[in-house]
Amino acid sequence: MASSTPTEFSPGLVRTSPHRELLKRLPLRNVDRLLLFSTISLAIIGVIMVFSATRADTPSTYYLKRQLFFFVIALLVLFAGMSFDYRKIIPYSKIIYAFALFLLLIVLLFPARGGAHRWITLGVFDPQPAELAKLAVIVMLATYISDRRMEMTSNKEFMQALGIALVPMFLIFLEPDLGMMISVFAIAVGMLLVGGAKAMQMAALGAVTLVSLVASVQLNLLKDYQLSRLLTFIKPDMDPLHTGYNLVQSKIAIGSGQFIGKGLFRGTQTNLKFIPEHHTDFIFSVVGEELGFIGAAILLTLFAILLWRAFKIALTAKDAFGTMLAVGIVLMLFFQILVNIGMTMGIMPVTGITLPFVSYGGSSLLVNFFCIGLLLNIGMRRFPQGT
Amino acid sequence: MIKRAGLRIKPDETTYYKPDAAQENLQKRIAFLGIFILVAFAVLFTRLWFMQIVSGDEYKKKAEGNRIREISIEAPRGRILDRNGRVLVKNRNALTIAIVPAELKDQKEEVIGRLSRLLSMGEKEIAYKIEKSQAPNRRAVQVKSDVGEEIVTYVREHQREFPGVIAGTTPVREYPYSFLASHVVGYLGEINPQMLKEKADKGYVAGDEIGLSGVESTYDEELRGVDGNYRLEVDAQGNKVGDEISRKEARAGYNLELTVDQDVQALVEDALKTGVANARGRQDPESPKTYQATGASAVVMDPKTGEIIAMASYPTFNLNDFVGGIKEKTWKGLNNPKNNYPLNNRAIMSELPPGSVFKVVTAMAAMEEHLYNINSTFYCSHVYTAGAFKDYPKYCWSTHHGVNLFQGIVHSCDIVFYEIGNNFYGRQGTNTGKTLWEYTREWQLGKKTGIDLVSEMDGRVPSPQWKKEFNKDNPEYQVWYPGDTVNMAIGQGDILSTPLQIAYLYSGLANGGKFVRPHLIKSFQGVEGEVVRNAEPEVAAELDCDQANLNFVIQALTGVVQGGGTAAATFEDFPLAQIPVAGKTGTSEIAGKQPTAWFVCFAPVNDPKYVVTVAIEEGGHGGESAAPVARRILEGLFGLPAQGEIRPSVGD
Repeated sequence: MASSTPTEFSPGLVRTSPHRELLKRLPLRNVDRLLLFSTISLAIIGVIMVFSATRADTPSTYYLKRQLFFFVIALLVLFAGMSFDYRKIIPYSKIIYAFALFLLLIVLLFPARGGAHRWITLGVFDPQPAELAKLAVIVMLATYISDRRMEMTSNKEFMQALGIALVPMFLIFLEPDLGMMISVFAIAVGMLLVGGAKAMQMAALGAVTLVSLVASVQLNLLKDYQLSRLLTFIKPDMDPLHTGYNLVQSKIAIGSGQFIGKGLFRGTQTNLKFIPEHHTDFIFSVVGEELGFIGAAILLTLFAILLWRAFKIALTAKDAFGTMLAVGIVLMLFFQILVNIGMTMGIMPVTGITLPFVSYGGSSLLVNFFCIGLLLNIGMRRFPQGT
Repeated sequence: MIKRAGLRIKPDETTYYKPDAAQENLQKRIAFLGIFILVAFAVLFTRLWFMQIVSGDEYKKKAEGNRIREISIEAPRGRILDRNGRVLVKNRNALTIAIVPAELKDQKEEVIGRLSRLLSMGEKEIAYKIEKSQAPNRRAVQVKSDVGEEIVTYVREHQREFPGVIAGTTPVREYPYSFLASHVVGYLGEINPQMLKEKADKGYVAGDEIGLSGVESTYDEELRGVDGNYRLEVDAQGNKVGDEISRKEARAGYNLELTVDQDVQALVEDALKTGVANARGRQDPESPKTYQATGASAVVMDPKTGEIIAMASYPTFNLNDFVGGIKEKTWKGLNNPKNNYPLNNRAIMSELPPGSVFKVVTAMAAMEEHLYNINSTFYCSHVYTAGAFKDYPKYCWSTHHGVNLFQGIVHSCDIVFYEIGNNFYGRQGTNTGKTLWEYTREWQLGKKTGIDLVSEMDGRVPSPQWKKEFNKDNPEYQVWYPGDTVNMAIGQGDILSTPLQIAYLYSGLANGGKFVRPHLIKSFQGVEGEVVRNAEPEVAAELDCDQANLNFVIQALTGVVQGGGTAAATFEDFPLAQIPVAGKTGTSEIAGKQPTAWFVCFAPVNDPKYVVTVAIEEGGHGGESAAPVARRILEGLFGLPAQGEIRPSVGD
């Protein structure tokens, strides 16, 4: 009986019973608890900080309630992301991609808010199609790259893979949402790099990017505020009352938090509204001001743990699609964390990218939790099944 | 299980493809990404450390600066009172229109245009006031003071059209008598950059009003008090949040009680004005014109205490012109040479040759050196030709024939003093006794009296050494001639003194050689009238001179106002028996100008209470122009009925 299955588990090597081994390989037992813990911790910190940032508004619990509600939904979405074998996505990747492009097109027909067509106005909940598009690009690229065994054998393939990112990037540019566009690009570049692009191809891409960047500035393709935001990043004191004002105030908030912070709900920069958009783009400034270096360092550490676990999942995934999907998600989260926190501390341009899990906002919370769901999904299914 | 339509690779290959061949390559690529992420996190951590730990204090200060607005509470400026507590200068609230330049933003021109129409002021004038002001941009610049109530109401009701414009009340100076004692009191104006630099550590800030002349300037720090402030927590829009954080009440400036008597001051100013008018009606025998009387000043001083009872300067100015910022046109008028500089306090700023009023110093020096005594005789034949003066004769204004030193003072005979001067010149270089200029300096000429007023001039006491330095670029003018000493002996030549210095000189004389420094402050008082500080009389010098000689000179001075004295006609019918007066006339010459009329006196001689000094520049002779003014002042000081018409005394 014991040696009826001859292949993988030779009794000589494995001392535990095959039954227990099989149990060990059951997906739910292999959920990465550290990843789950850091994600939920970040989201809880986020809910508290959003409340701290918006207490002064009326009604004072409006944002708190909404963020709590989204958090609960996000937990469901996370489990949804785990519930099916991630490989089932592969056949749908084109459909998901096409649907995302479709939404990016119709969002342009919705009324602009603050000069940008970013939201599909549903009333209760206004999703941002670009958030979905980001995920769609990751899925589509993961499929495409894994189809090609993680090798760009020809420049044509490289171009096609790049094209997958460029089309939604163009539509996002039309909204316009420069920050989102750049993050899609960053994800694509990272995935191509890991997905087997050749050094020459990457170099060519770098050169073309540089040229088009210069050209877009020269040809005035960027809106004035986009350009000035990028410029004030270089020298924020140039015009502190306008574009650089946010940045200067954010830095004051973080710096004045010092080691232990001013205390939760006691940030003066936050409470007296010196930091604009403090519950979304500048939530990290609130953390820095109220919780100090200790709080901000804990937050950064949680992010670091999250990315480390995600990395591990990418490396141990049982197939190329899983690896690429995890890499894409890692890139997406990392890029947002870096740009957002860097922005609040004045070392990255002001681009309107929010901080994953912490900033207020339903769309991004749901998408990010779904992504963590997918990561856990890939991680818990890392063992070949049925054997 | 998984359907892949149109797939070139078999399903199993795809789904279970583990990149074995590329495994190493893949790990390298992922590691590259990992290192990149690690570096990025290290950067974020480092940046966080630098901001919160290294520069935390700095950011904290900025955060506090954001959060806290400090609003200044202006301390009311102290009032200025006369010696009897009567108010010379007070404060009132004026309805004013002010502009905060920083809040004009891009609407500067429109707002100035609207204000121009509303206030009937030129746009240029408003712009000039804004630009001229040194105040930091957040501080209000006063545009117009004493506007009508309807204008204030209009601006407040249409505040949206007037961003950055403040319609409100500001405490301003009020001068009930406009012209009274304007030189003593002084005017206020905005602090200039240089003063700001000097006074920055005393709490002065740009845009502050500061006393620019008179006691307003000397005692500015005491008068201005200490501004208070309160601190508020504000949000990003500048709205007040919560309660006041702290409050420091302003301490009102001290009230300044002057030694000046308002009534005497008014009397002196009036007498001086009349004296100038009379001089201007008098024919100058040496020119086809009447006397110009370009300026005049008078000082009444208590020789024992150094208190200035009155100090007047002509022409004068209206202090109320300076309230709320002086109009450009008025300011230019006050500085136009044609108007003889009304802002100058001539009692301390006019450096004039003292002429014959100086002769008392020469006489004292001659007797102290035992060169002469009061009875030494001289002969005045109108011309002096002794020794070196054979080829350069010097003349007396009259012909006095045989005179002694006593009569020389009474009649102001120049020959007497030429001879004394020549005698002093003869001793030069022999190292015997003191020189004439040394005596002059002892009698406190050639240096500031130290009165509590700004802009006091030094005057000048010439000496061979001074002459050498003064002409250091022209060696041929460096020689000290006999004429230099001789001219000085009659108060001519290079010697210069201010009217206050002459008043001080005669105070010392009247006071037995004791010089009590002239001053205008009697006390500082708190808001309740309690005395915070009393001025103590300061003895600046006490001369060790023979009291007998001093008495001879004083005796001679009493002869000036009676009998054949040079001011006798003017003091006709003056009750000299009750109020003995010692005086001296003087007529000093300045090349190219009409003579300055001097008269200085003190009374009562036995117990001097007042020294009265009058100088009328280009006003003619002392006896005819200055002495009548002094008599009018003495009448007022001693409560005598005013003489209907005071006669001028012809002569020196």
